[in-house]
Amino acid sequence: MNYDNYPEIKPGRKTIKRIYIAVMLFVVGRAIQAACRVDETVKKEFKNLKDGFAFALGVHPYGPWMIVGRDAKGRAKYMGWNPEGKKIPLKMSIKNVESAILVFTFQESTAVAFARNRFVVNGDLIDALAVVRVLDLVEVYLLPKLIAALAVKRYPKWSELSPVRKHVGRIVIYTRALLGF
Amino acid sequence: MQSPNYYEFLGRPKMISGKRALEQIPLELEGYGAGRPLILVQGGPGSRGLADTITKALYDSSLVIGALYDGAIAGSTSGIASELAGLFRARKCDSIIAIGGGALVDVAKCVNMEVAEKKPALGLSGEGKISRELKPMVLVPVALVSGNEAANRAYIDGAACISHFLSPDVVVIDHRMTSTAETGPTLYSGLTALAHAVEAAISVSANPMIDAYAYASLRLLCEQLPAAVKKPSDKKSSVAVANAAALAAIAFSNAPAGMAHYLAEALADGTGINAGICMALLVRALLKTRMAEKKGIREELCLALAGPGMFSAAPASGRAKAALGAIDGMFADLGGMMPGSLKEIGVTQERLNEAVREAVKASPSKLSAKECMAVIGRAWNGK
Repeated sequence: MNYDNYPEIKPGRKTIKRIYIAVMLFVVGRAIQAACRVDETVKKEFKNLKDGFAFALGVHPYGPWMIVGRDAKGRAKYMGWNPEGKKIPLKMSIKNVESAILVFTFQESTAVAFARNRFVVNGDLIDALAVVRVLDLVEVYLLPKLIAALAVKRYPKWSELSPVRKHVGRIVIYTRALLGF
Repeated sequence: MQSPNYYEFLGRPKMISGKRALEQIPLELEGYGAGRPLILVQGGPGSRGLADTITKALYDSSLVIGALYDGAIAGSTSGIASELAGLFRARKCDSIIAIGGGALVDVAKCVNMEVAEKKPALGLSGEGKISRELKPMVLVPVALVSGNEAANRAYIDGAACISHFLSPDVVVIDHRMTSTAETGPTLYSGLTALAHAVEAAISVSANPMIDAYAYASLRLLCEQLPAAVKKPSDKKSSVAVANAAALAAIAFSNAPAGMAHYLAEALADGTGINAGICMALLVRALLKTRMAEKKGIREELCLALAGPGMFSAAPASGRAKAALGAIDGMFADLGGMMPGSLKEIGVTQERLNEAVREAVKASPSKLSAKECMAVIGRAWNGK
């Protein structure tokens, strides 16, 4: 057997999919920051987290990532895409780009992806579940009902989130997310 | 439910099945501290597609493919095993990914034995000759035709090596691979799985864990095998059959090989007929013989074969009959691909005695020649 016929292969990159995920993570990260100032439930979830808390959500091993932290006032703050040099107590990695695509194209909800073991969580699981609840709510604000219903575990009823609150919240969150405040 | 006084069960390998399952391989290998696999891909028509699929599935991972071998592997021989072990060492690989079934997986396991134990695989034939964990191995089934692929055994130059270290560490079932199988291999893998699951469930080692694996395997086969054989490219049924085959192999790893297994191997050796078909005909004959001898069939097995609906509709005394009816029904649904008897596939009556002799000799559990003759005779007649 001539071993030269079977050379080493370095797998390539899925650039377009990674760009799509990076854009989604950027929008969601800024939207979490905005939602924390608009929605009481999100605000409460962040208030309950420890001081100095931050989490990174991204794709193993090469990213992209989004980092969201809790500031001194207990509000969410989008801290960019690069986890290098940051103290991050909770790291939630999606195992690979394809699993991330399933989540970010809403073919699989975050809860289902968690149940199917597509995430690796390093850190406190209770905090991770709070983050999943926040992500669910942010998706409800960001996406039309038809798509959000696929992405979240349970779409909130009218009594939990009235259409007026939802639509006003959506406009404010989109505006704040785009402008970054 | 039978409550045994004592049992042992090893639930290996880990199974990952479904959408985008192939992409989980890098992280699984990372968990074993490996990142430079030797990939063996089943040769023949369509193999280029399999190689491309696996390479793309490994994109965006920290893993580097040490070498990808997609040449033809006609059988599991010392020659090809030691050549590929040389390739493994030359490329400084640290793990193996086998994509396919049958001889290719036997070769992958033999390469693993050679590189981990640093001696020829043939010298490790027999039971319990492997002394340590081997290199991490991932099996990606196309069609598990021999039934040994996900189990604790491998064959080299016709000799069996049996050790729980030979079970793959991870089995990854993805429709992008299973739906490329052809009709024949799909049928053979399903029938072998059926026979292994039934024999494990009626063996002396039967325990609640074996029952659980056998139940899952048999229900998947009864519900999906005919559909998979009619249309092997169907994603859902091809994945179901691959799951059934892997589950049956785990049950088979935890129970001694039974009469149908040894008789089928003896018949296949001498006639060139597929062992899976022989095994399925023999296991049906085995159950019928037990019924005729009033030994009965375990309730757990009747439930697995007949399914909850048929099982609960039948009176307690008629459940075994319902289970046999379910096997007959499945064989009928397989249509022209499934013969009714050994006679129909060209096994001569003279060959039966020879096969019984070989099976008795091969079996470590001292099979009774008289019982073997009764079963093989029934399978030959198709009664």
